[in-house]
Amino acid sequence: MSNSRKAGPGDHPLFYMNIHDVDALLSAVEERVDEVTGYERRGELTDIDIPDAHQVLLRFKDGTIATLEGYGVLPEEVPGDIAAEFELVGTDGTALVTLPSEEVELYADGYDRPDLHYWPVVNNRMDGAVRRQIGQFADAVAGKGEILAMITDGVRAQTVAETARRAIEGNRPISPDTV
Amino acid sequence: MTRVAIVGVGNMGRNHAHAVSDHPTLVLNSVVDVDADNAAEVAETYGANRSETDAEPAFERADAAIVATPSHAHLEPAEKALDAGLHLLLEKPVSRDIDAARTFANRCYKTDLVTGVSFILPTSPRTRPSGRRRATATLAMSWPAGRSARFRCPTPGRPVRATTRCST
Repeated sequence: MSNSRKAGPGDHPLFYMNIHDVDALLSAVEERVDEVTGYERRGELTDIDIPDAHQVLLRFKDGTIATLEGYGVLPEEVPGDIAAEFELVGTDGTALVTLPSEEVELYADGYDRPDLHYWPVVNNRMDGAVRRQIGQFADAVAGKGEILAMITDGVRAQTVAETARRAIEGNRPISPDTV
Repeated sequence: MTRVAIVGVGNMGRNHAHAVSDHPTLVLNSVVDVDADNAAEVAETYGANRSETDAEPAFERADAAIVATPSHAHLEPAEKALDAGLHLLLEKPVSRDIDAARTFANRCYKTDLVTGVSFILPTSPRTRPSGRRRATATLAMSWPAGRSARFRCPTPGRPVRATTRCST
């Protein structure tokens, strides 16, 4: 919950948290979103005008359906700080990604599964996805590669997140084409 | 060496500062924050050449900028970075206002500068096993293919259902 409060008043979790998941969904399905609807729950974080939880249902133009869930009220003791899952069910099988992983589990004053994925510090050096992203940015600047996520990708994901926010607040399905 | 200015050194800005300071071809030249003490502390911790409370003087001595300010304050330093001819890595969302975000994306499309958004999942072997990434047509604009790269996920057959959940 402290992360939600750090994000600040009015910083809707669809944009500070779930936008990464929207980007992953769009990239995995490789199709445009046709319609979005959803619900939210408000309560614990009402003082900073953001929902505690939201669930979004998306339908893609090729018929794929997806759910997007966000919860910003986990207790501080939850191991790993961010708990995330991504599951894809296809006609030939399934794929599942769970973060944090169970590769390292610590039992001491409490139980923890340290971050090994996003921004772990190993031997005082930044590791993980942030390090790789900075590396790719450096390579792109040097002309040795392309940036993986362009500003247009950011706008694409933000459009879907904005559609979800409006659908929830308007209590009706909305097409991203109208946003 | 590429000189980097980081604007906004809260949690994510600090992570970026740490990663930049560790990178062999990047120099953490400036750390910028509205909180002078915070900027100074981050600069000292990660060996930046200077700390500032204003982005513009930092941009005069940089080749690239990373903008990690609060989301309501993303676009102004991002625009100034491009005005100064800097490559840009921008934290998400591009802007709280979707129309302003689209206008900025149009500007980025027309520049030869490297401009990226900080989506870190595509860099992870867990969520990006191979290939590059393409930003296909956005929902309100389109760009010709070839401007970006292709991302492929190991979709098992044709996708039927996807579920994603994130909690903090």
